[in-house]
Amino acid sequence: MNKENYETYQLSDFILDESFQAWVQGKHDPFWDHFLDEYPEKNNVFKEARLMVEALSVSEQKLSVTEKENYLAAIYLKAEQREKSRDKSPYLLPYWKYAASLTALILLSGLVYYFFLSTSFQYYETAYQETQRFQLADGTEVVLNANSTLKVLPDLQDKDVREVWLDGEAFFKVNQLMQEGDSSTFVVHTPNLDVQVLGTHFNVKSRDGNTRVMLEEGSVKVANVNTRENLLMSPGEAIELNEREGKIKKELAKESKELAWQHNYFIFENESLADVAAEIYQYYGIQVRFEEAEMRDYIFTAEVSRENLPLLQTLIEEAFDMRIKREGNAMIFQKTNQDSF
Amino acid sequence: MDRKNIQQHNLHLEQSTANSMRQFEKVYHEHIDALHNYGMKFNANRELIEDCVQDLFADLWEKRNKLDTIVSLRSYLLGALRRKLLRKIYSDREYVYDAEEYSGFFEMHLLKNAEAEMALAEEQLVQINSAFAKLTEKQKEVIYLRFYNQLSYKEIAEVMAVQTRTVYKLAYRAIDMLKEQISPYTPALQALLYWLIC
Repeated sequence: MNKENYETYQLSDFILDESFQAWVQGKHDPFWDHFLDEYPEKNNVFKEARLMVEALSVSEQKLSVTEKENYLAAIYLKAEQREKSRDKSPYLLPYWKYAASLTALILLSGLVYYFFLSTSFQYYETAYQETQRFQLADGTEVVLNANSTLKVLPDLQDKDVREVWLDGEAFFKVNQLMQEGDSSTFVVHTPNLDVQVLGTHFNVKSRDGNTRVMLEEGSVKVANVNTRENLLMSPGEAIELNEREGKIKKELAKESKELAWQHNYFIFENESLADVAAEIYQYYGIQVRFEEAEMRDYIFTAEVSRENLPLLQTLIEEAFDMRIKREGNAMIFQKTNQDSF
Repeated sequence: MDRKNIQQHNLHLEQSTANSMRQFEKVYHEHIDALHNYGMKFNANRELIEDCVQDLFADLWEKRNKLDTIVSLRSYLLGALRRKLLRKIYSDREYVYDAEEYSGFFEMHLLKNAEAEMALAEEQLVQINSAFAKLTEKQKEVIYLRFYNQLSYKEIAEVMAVQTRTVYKLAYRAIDMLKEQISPYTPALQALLYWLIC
């Protein structure tokens, strides 16, 4: 580092100093650690600059493993198409050999990739419109709803604390395990809530900063990751933690409704179209746009198979006398034109 | 070539393909999040952005044997993506969102930072956010590349195809503007600061 004249350093100078920024963002640097010992008169501006850098250093969302794999597959496809259109007949023979080995390698690298993951964490992922049932190494049964990811600690059966991480929605039937005379705890982590259980059946849904837990049987303890506020749940109860409100809310749950997804059903009971739109997005990956904002508050009730999107579409159209238009990967809810009457 | 030679030749081909593929995927996993997130800041739909990112990596796949020659891969890739996106956005108007729907070329979402949310009161974050919204697109972009991607000023200049001097100017102007906007609240910020850091 060149010796700058720090006596004259202003707020902007600190904020835009590369080594200062790196230090605030976590890089070890003894110079900045001891800066205030040397320049105590810079105390206020130094701390303000530090705060500004922190506020400006937002960590962004990362793509999921599935999204990354899809991206990569599309890239290889594009590269292959380019090669195909470029190499015409003269190189046909060597090219095909190459293409065949390339395809084999793509498959192989996929396998290696998953093998690598399985020796560390194990990932279960579902695409849109896909539900998976499986058993974890400790005997716990899981049903994973569409568009969800579950990350699982390796060698789960040997752990004192069995930990899994959920993004999306899943139902758990936790297998009660004894670990040296004590039953081992099972913890489901979501971004804002930890669910701690002994042996029990429950549903966790965590999307967009909102986490909801519904307990079917047994007992669980939930804890707010940020405030450590925690409470015990009894069967039939549901709790919800909203990122905005930051406090856990408790209510009585309607089991059939909350677990309908496992039977591949949507049950909407007096739900706003905004909530229905969120469900459509979570399950099909289809974005809903409303022509007029007030439509979001329309109240809708129906029971529909998730296999039958056209039916859901028709029910909504008829209930509110509207038209639903498909446009690429979006659905547009429009008012039918009343002028023609 | 006799049979044995062909086999050896193929084996060699497979090995070198496997090697370059491993290297290529390493590069891919290192940069895909940054590129995707940067792309999403532009005023275009996701399809177009993903298409450009895929194109970029398909280009890179063709150059996979020359990857070592690129000095800063991150800024090279960000710059290449930027050029691709702008070219498509200007030539392909149909892919672009309505002006009403998207307020700018560059959207920032400072509020989403969970850590900052813990450290700062919501009110102060709102202050910083609204101050940020008043910056020009270029100023926002410099701040984004600087604080999110930790690029040096020289690298930012490379990405945005401007002179390093210009990047400094944009950065200083941006920080000064933020300071002006936020300074009426500094007593509150400082009070918070003492509680936070001391």
